[in-house]
Amino acid sequence: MLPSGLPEEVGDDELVARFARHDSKYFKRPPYRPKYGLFIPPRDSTALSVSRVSGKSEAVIREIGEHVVLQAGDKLYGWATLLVKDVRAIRSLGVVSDEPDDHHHFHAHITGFPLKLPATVPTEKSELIQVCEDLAEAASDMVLVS
Amino acid sequence: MQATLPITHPLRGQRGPDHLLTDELVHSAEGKAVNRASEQQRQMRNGSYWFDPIERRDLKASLRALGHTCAQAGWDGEGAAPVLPLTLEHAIRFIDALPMGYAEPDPGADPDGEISLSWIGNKGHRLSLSIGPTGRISFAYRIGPRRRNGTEWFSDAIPEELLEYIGTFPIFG
Repeated sequence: MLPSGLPEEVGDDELVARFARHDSKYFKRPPYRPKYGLFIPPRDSTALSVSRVSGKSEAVIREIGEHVVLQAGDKLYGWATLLVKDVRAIRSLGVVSDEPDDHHHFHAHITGFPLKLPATVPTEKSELIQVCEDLAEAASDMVLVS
Repeated sequence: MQATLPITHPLRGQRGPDHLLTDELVHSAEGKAVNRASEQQRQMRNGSYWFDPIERRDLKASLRALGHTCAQAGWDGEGAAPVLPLTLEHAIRFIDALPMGYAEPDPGADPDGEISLSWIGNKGHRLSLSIGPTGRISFAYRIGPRRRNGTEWFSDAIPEELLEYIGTFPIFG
């Protein structure tokens, strides 16, 4: 059992949320579809941070999101959710829990992105964009923080 | 020499040469000729703020604001590379090269400092591309089961393949 009380293994039927820290990460017209940029891993990484939010209310998800972005000194713009089963259906992506301490309750990683940025081979970045678009297509519309 | 075309239909409230996008103007032979001439004129004026339609001005202003926000390394709080002035210049030139009558993209920035442009249509219909400081364009397109990704190089014109994909998105979609 993890510090948050969640099981270590992330189930296929769980929901994970990806929090937006920049308003360029989603389409600004309704229904506010997420763009691939919301799901692109940080530089030099092949993993993307998400939070396990199954069964949690919007208010609780927002609280988790605000905690997450506060650690980077940032502002929460909103979030999109993904079903873990849908993530695992995309190429070699996986979802694993990651709660190293009490500041990372509900934290998990989407793993298995095809490359780390910056891409050295020109064709590689388009592969990464395609995978991130797969995630954006599978994700819910954005819930925006007013 | 450019032909003079009689305009026999009202322009339905449109505001000028860059706005001649009513159905009959887009689809008739005369309309296509007017559009081509208008586009040539517009491209000759590229880079001139005052001759851009309002939507285009807003888009370029958003790009510049994005370039400013992401000009420092680590702008995403996770070690992102800065958006370089040259990258911003390529992105603005790409927008200038986009003919009127095509849907305009939504801009963003990637952790490698490239600027992204996204078009999102109905479910399963997307085009995303990112432009870097060398003019390299990485793109991914999908419409239904058809998917395509690849790399192009931007000079002064938008590569035909990309223009074909952009043309599949409705202008006000």
